[in-house]
Amino acid sequence: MWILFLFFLRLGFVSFGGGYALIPMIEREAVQQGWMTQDAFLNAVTVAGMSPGPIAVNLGTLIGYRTFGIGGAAAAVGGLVLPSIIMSAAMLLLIHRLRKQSWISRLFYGLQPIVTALILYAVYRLGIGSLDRGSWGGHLVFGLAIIGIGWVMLVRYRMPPVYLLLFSAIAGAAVLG
Amino acid sequence: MNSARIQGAKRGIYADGKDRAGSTTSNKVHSPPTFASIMWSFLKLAPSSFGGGYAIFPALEKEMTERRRWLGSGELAETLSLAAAAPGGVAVNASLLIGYRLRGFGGAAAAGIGAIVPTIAIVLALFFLYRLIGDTPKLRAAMEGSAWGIVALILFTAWRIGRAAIRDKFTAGLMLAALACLLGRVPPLYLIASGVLIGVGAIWMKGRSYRDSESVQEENGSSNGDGSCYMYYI
Repeated sequence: MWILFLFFLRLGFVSFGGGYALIPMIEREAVQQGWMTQDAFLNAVTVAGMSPGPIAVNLGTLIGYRTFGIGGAAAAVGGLVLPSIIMSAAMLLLIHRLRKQSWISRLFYGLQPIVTALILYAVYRLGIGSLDRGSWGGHLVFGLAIIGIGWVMLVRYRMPPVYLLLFSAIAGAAVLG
Repeated sequence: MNSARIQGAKRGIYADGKDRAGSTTSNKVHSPPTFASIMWSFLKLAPSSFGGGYAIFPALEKEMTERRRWLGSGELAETLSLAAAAPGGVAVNASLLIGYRLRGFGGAAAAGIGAIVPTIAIVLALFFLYRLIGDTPKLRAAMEGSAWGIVALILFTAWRIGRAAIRDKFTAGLMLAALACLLGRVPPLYLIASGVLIGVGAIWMKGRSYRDSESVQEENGSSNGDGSCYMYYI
């Protein structure tokens, strides 16, 4: 459980740009440590993504719960949230200097492309994982259709993401079931 | 001016009336919000972050600037971009920062608890629900369907962040190199560390020319209005 806490604590410090960039890291660790199988992880990501709140915190809750019960969930969430609190407090103290943004934008210059790559990699892993579950052809067509429709919903009509999730769940039950 | 605004925010009295978008806000909060009302606001908002932390921003804006009138829209946008820049879940960061602005550390604690507790409860409830009826083929198919919905959401986030991240050929190359490394199973933590180092190094090499373009970018950014900068992420 200590390992679990330390792992999520470490993650908490590097989770720039929201939790999505963390998915590949959590996957790697969870499978390597034997906390979860690949398939269980995929399910956990889906449940975590459907739930409100940051996906990383949700994933941490699920992984912690599955491995060490409620205590594990608390350890994982504590590990993830603690750095947020520390860093937010530090940022508040630095708020004057941050206004000028010179050093922070320097850090972000190299960091943001990496974060983008991590998020794209999460997309790739989740996509491959979903494809591996069923027949490749049918799932690929379905997946691309959902991505296309989702794009229109989010970009063009600026709908809240919850509608996309509901829609994809219903479409999945109707088409894939 | 900055310190005055922050002082005002610390006391919970928002009497500035001047937000960055240029419009004047006439809202005045006469008494600081109570801890209970801060916590309640965030408890109420938590379910609207279905689909990721950034999804909470529109509802948060409505609650803070229109319903409760605790913050002006410029102040909120500033806080939200800070929240997006700090590591950690954006929604959690946002709640901590807003709570702190309203009532200091106690306010941050109240907002944080309000934001995190329902999230954990809902995710565990969903998980049990899934376990309870997890074997029906219909539910399995619905899960597979929403897995694709989440893929679409994450792709959308990547696009949003990518638009801010890919500023030139160098950052585009860095992104592609990082993607190649990930496909080659390089641990992500090393990539993040080297990304920071490479970025700082590259800027140092470019020296003054970058600083100039940076300040131009910043001016452009602020004239576009800060309200849009956190929308980069959703």
